[in-house]
Amino acid sequence: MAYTYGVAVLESPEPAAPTDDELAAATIAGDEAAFAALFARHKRMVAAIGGRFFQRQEQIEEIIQMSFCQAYLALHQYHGGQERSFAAWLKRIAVNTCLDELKRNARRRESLLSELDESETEYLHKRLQALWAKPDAEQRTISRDLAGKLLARLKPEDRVALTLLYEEGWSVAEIAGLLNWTVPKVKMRAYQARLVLREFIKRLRQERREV
Amino acid sequence: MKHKAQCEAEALEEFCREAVQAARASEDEINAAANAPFLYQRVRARIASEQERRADAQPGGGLIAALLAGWRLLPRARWAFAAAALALFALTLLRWSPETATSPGKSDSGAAEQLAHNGPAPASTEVSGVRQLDAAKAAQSRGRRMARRSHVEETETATEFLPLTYVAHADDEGSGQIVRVNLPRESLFALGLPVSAERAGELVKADVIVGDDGLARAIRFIR
Repeated sequence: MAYTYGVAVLESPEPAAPTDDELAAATIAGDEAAFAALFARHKRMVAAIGGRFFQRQEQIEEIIQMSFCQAYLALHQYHGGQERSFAAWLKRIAVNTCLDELKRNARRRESLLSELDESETEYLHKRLQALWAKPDAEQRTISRDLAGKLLARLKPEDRVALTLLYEEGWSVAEIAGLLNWTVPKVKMRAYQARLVLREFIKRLRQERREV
Repeated sequence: MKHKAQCEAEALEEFCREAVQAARASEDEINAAANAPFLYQRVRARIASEQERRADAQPGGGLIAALLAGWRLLPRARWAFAAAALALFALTLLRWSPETATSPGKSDSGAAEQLAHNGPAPASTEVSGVRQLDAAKAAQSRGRRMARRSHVEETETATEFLPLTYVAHADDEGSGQIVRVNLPRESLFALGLPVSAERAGELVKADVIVGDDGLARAIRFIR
């Protein structure tokens, strides 16, 4: 109940916001506004997933566009219900979109570890020595670029498995379900990723000793 | 005291975690991407172009699309689908090769049989046969040219939308529609883009987002 100039006014109950499933059904029926509402509701989540794998804003925007485009065109395959929410379904599309984009980038060979020059390698080594140190903003930017280059050395599937394990904190079974992989495949991909990074660390230490 | 291998494993775990966390975009960049101007319009434009592309690909690709769908739906029967796809490919090759590769040979042998039975054919028949062959070749090359041209049209690339910031509420993404236009190259001057004087008269393809009020909100260029 609200009071306006001393007069009690009965508030009409706010209409409940439509659920994702209702909006999805309306979109399939041809309601453009419903899809716009779904987009507004979930674009941040898709952007966050894109941000796990890509650093530049235009790359993240591209992931958002591709994910929602695929979601729209495959919306008739979405059945909803409690078992698989729209957000989970869209998340699966977004992660797979990221995986496809990483594969495309790998084919283009946009960034290789060989792009790390001597000073960058030195910096990375120092970061390795001080794992628990809190870097300032500038250092964080530099280490982010370097980490991006380092992870670009991994196979796209290895990188996705590693990122979802560490960044999202998902279990192996959850990742397997999300990517439609088997559990052993997720374990193998994460193992391969760690193997590459371990080799990199070993090489850095060896170079350090030689110097 | 920890074993050396265990320490190394822990250091590796920590390094992996740090590398993954360091490689992600910041919250500001994620928010900026999610709230980029005209993002929804760009999604709609992409959906429309994808629908067009699929509609164009539908007539010839029906069987292939069905095979692909089967491939996705039945992971355990993939070998069967692969065999079916190979068989389809082989059939296509068998059907295609006699028409294109051996048709001149066929006509030659037909002409030889005719020659053996009826004697030399009149000159006018030979000329018309040559003309038919030339016409067929011309039609084939024309078809190839058209296919190449349509392929080029399909693979057009677009720049990002450039907001026309003189308009108030330029980042209002609730309304508007995209219109494909041809602009004189000299109009790029207004956007601060370089234009060579020799090509100023040429036309460039562009998509313009027009708001409900009729004003252009943003533009992107197509190549």
